[in-house]
Amino acid sequence: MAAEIRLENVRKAFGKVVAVRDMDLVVEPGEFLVLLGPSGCGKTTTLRCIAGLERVDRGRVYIGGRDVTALPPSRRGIAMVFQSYAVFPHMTVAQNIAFGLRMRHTPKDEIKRAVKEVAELLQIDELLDRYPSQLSGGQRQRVAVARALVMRPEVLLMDEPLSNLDALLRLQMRAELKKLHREVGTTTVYVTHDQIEALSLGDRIAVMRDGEIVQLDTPHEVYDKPAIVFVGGFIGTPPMNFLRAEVRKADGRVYLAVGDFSVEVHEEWEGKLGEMVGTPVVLGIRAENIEVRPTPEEGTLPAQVIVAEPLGSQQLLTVQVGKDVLKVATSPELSVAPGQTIGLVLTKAKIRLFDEKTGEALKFD
Amino acid sequence: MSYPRLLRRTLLYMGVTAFALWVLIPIFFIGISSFTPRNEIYAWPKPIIPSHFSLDTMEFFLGSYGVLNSLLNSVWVALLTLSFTLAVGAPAGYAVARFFFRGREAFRLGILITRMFPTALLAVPLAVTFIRWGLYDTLVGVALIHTAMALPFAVIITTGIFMGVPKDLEEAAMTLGCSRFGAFARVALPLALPGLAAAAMFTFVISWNEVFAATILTVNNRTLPAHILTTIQASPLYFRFAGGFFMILPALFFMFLIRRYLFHMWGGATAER
Ligand SMILES: Nc1ncnc2c1ncn2[C@@H]1O[C@H](COP(=O)(O)OP(=O)(O)OP(=O)(O)O)[C@@H](O)[C@H]1O
Ligand SMILES: [Mg+2]
Repeated sequence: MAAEIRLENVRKAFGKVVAVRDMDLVVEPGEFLVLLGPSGCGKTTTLRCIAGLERVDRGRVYIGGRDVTALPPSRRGIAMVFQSYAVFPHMTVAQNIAFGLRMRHTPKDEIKRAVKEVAELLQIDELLDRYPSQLSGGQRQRVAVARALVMRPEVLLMDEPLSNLDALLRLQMRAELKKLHREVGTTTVYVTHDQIEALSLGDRIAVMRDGEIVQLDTPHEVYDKPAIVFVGGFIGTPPMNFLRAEVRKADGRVYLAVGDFSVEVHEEWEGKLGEMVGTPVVLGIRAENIEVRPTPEEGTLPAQVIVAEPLGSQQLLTVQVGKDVLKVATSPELSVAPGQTIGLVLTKAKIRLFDEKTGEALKFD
Repeated sequence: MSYPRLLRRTLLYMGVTAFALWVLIPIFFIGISSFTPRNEIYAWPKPIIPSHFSLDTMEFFLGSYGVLNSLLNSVWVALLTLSFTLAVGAPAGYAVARFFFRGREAFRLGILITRMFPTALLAVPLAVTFIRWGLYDTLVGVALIHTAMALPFAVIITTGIFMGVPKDLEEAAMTLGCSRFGAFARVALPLALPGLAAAAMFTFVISWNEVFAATILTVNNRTLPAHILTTIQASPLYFRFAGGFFMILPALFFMFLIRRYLFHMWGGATAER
């Protein structure tokens, strides 16, 4: 039922714009893979190359071990949910859902049964006789998903299926899509530029930039250990903080100098960092991995509060450290005033270091 | 409403009214006169509303030598033109709407330029060519010329129609098992049908009203306008009224049906509301 998708060295350019740059990607059978990236990075094009709606310039596409590079969409065993839903306006909901099965010449009574079943699954069985113009956005979206699922595809492709829904409905549909995937188990590639959607839905996330996958990992890894500065800055609300630092050594201890202050590093890193003394690096740390002391004490990083935003379950501080601006998450009970100087303690184990020039994470294993 | 705006409005409506009357008054009199008893047409002062409704004039017109025949010819030519035009124009419009190809913009402009060529210039060469090809004085020949005249409009209208059908829909059909052509036939075509019908009516009217080419390219197989044109000098007034009425009939009828698409074709999407 669920098939593996494999892209080998796939390239697709539109004139001078390279939308997909020599991409290698393996999606495991039954996996829910999210393609995440900023607008124009080539997510849709990648999906369309898998679907066969775009002819690749070079490279090969395999679905379930079968080379489908030269096959039209109809013969790839895929189903797709479009961002616009692309529900046929001249057909009723039932006809829309049945369309693919009719193309396959499935017997009538079987089609009827399948349509009913999938409509119940998506809770649109009351709407089967309506035309799309009589549906809300959320209902149309369900029809599009039902129309794809009824095909029992080996691979389900979705292009930002929730982006046209309002925030509340999006939250609800997100949970439903996740549940649906657990029930159906189809290999799914899901495109979004909403990082929260990606974190909550994906078994793995492929973060894209300029037609390339820059990191392919579980949501936890992508969030916690971004492979490059770009990923840390793109994922998370607020995004990861970055500080300019320099590797120094004194009294046999390796540390990071942030302005005039020092930040301790993981003992295991000292060996490798010891060889890099004098090198400028970028220090990355997430807002929730910074502790706040009401006053700058010995061993803390002094910071000036610019803004304090109470956000319900937490309080978000915007502070200035040297020339860098950081976001710090604290308990809502902590009372600080703008202009106040506080002390920051960075959680040692959560610090990430990046090469200043390439932006790539330094590896210490 | 502010004073200048009121003034502008008033002027606009006066202008529109004058223009509409200028077009409608002759149509009104032609229509009325065609159903007036024959002797009353010459009455003076002429009553605006005739004393009674009569099919007398119409009967005389339809019974005149050659009229019924040319009426049928006109219908045939118009239907042939319509088929030729749609057969060529609709695929052309689809191609311009869907595919990028070298010279696409030049093609779109070039289509209209063909309309700038005066048919009068082509009259003699056309007649010679048609005689040589055996198309002279045939309905197919006239239909071919009418097709050439109607095609530019047909392509422009159908381009607009197919652009209005989202590409996504066809792609969705393709992911659901259709071939390219299947997706066109099952999704794009049904959605474009009302628009295509409008284009068809428009083509029909163009052919129905065309007089110049029809006159020079036929001798015995006259279309209605060609027949009226060649006999009008020798005809009584009531014959002319009845003939005029037949000429405007399809145009009036179709224009009411397709005016939404005409607005669309001229880029006035706002005019629809
Ligand atoms: N049909 C096309 N013709 C020309 N250029 C295209 C075409 N489709 C995409 N591109 C270009 O390819 C690049 C990638 O486009 P793509 O639609 O894949 O981005 P995306 O990641 O899906 O963005 P978004 O989040 O905005 O949907 C963009 O620079 C885009 O302008
Ligand atoms: Mg996209």
